[in-house]
Amino acid sequence: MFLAALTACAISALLVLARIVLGKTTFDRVLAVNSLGTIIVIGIALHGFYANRPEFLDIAIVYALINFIGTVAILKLFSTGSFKGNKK
Amino acid sequence: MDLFTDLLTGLFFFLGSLSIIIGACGLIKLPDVFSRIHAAGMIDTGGTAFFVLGMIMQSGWSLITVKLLLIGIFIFFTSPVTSHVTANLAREKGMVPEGKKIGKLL
Amino acid sequence: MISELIINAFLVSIMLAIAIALLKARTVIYTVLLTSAYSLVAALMFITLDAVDVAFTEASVGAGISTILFLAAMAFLPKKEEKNVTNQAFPALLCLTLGGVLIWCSFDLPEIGLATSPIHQHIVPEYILGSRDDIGIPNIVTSVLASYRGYDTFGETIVVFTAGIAVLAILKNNKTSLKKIKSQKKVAENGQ
Repeated sequence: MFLAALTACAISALLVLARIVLGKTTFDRVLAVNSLGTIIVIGIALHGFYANRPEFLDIAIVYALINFIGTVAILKLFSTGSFKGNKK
Repeated sequence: MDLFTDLLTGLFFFLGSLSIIIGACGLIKLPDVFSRIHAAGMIDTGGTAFFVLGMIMQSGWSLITVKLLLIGIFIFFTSPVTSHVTANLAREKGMVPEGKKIGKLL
Repeated sequence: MISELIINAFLVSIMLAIAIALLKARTVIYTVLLTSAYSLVAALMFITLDAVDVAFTEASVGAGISTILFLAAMAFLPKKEEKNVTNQAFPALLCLTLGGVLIWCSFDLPEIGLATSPIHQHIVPEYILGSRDDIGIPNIVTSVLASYRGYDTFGETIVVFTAGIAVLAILKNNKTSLKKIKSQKKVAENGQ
């Protein structure tokens, strides 16, 4: 059961990766990297259950946090050109 | 009871797999950023929610359940934020949705 | 067993695909995004190898801090990027040679997890046996880091902390001295 779900994660990770490589604008790529991060979070949790070691869920939590911070940082840089403040 | 939870887990995993695969296909197939945000939201909310529910069925009541709920709640709240920021920024940078001429409305 | 092999092979092939796409990447932000995706997949790889500590480090440093650092450095770059047209045959040859030598050397390594390999003979059995009985921490890596090599870790932490404080102090001083210079200049101009 967990293996089937992991296979679904693998297929969608491949498709999302294709969007990262193909994507025309940066926004497409940012969106796709964010989705890849979500899929990897699900994959970490599923693999933890599959290997009978659900303690790995801590890493999934850290990953969910880091993924959000990274995406927002990229978009912030893209909008203002620097991390300094709210100049437009 | 065991069989029942297993069946429920299987159902949730099926729905979750369906939503992440549909979301990934949409990310490939849809024409522009604004419609792709919809597909990414499908992966973030539908996929995560169903998978977390399925894994909660398997874990029972323990610390693992709390951690799973944390993941689910966190992604549930951050996914709309990233979608909103992306769409807002794409509009600000002058991107227009493809298809009908709704660019003037924005 | 075979499913573990399939998962590992899949992850390695995804990482290879990202690496090839990185070679083709021509803008800086695309490169940063691909590096972020690479470390996302690498952490899952470390988890399948049962290296939780490394996966934690990869998650926080590889995907989080280094992406933001790259972006912060990118903010200082000019907006327009020039096309690089130098001949890249020599660097490619160098990389291929180095990679080939490393792969050739890896054939001499003992098998992964072999109990009789030299690295598992010297002091590791003592750590493995002692970490539960002497210290009482279930995770061996944690007990080695925090207890057997406690002084080492303590020293490292002090060094990093001191470096951080020094950097902050220098940067802060610099700002105030700049302000002082500016105000002195203003005073001088007003005086004239």
